[in-house]
Amino acid sequence: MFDLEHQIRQWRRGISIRLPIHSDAVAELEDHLREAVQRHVQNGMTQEAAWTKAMEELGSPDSIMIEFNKLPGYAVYRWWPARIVMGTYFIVALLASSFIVSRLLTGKIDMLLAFHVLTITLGYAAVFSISAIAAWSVLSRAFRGWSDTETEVLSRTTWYVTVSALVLTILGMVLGGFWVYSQTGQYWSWNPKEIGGVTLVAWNALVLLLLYRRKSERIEMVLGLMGCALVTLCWFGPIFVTSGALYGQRGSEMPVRVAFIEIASLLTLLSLVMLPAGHVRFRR
Amino acid sequence: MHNASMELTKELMGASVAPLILAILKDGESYGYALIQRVRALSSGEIEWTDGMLYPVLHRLEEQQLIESYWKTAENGRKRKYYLMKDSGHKALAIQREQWRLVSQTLNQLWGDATCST
Repeated sequence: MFDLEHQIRQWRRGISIRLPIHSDAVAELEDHLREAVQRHVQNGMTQEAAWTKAMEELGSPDSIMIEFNKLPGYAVYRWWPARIVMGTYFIVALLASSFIVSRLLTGKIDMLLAFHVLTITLGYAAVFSISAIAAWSVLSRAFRGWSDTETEVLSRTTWYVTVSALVLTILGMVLGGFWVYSQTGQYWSWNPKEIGGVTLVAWNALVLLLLYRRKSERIEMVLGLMGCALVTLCWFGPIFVTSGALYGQRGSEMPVRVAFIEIASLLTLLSLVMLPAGHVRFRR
Repeated sequence: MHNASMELTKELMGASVAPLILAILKDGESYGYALIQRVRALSSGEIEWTDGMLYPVLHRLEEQQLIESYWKTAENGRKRKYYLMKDSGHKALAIQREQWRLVSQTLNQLWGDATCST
């Protein structure tokens, strides 16, 4: 006996393999198939004949895959939040580079340390960039609504920037290891800065794994926001610990205040992620 | 519409898909299956798309920021992806319309076929 649901499940398996990054298109094509079958049945066909005709009209999974493969990638550079954040990132990178080069030229730091500081700064700042895009996305989704295209472009932006963050952080840690070796004779000592670096490498790898496995704007936004908290802790935490700022010395209130504001902002944004898209509207 | 049964060339079919989609979406949101049925009805069945070929075009138009999409639950309870025109899509359609008009006028002058006038 003909089982339509079984046929659709089999077709879905075949097309999903061919369109791995177009999960929404697979769902869309399935809806199309179901409607076509329904119409043909209404016109007097048997379910089996309707299925065969609908499949003929739709085209083979391979021909659909060929057409989808002709699509250009979703252009991240056209998404204006990404433009603003990445523009800011490059300005920060330029300023950081200028500062480090000036210290290098004046002999305050050596070449190895200069490149270590620069790569670590750019790697950590990249995670902040993802957080800024995530924060914008959360607010935009809550107040204005959200489209599949934005999920796609957010996913791609997060992916590219996280890859950059991961590579830069690993490079920075390796350079840092060599610099520490030149100073102390050992590569690694599990100090707070090193633990912070390892934590961020692991975090970036986890983000990439989760993005690879599943595409969802909520997951992408939560990962972006959590990255902000983590990079703050890993970047500035060791500085405050080693400088003693958290132990009641002068100026200790500022980091506590900043941390409080950041936690409150993150909790607010995380609660907005839980709401349906476009749920928050200003009423006149 | 012409009486003679004809099959559009692949090139002409490819060139006309985007303006046809934009022209239909100009009147309001729609979804893949409905777009195909509308074109089929308007052309009295002369324009026959392979259904699966429409979706990459829709995705491309979306990527080009000419249309946007969203999912909603249809009357039959199934989730369905709807497409609607963006402002840039209206502008693109106006340009395409002028281009097609120019081609059509030129061919009409060459062929002297009044029935093909737009």
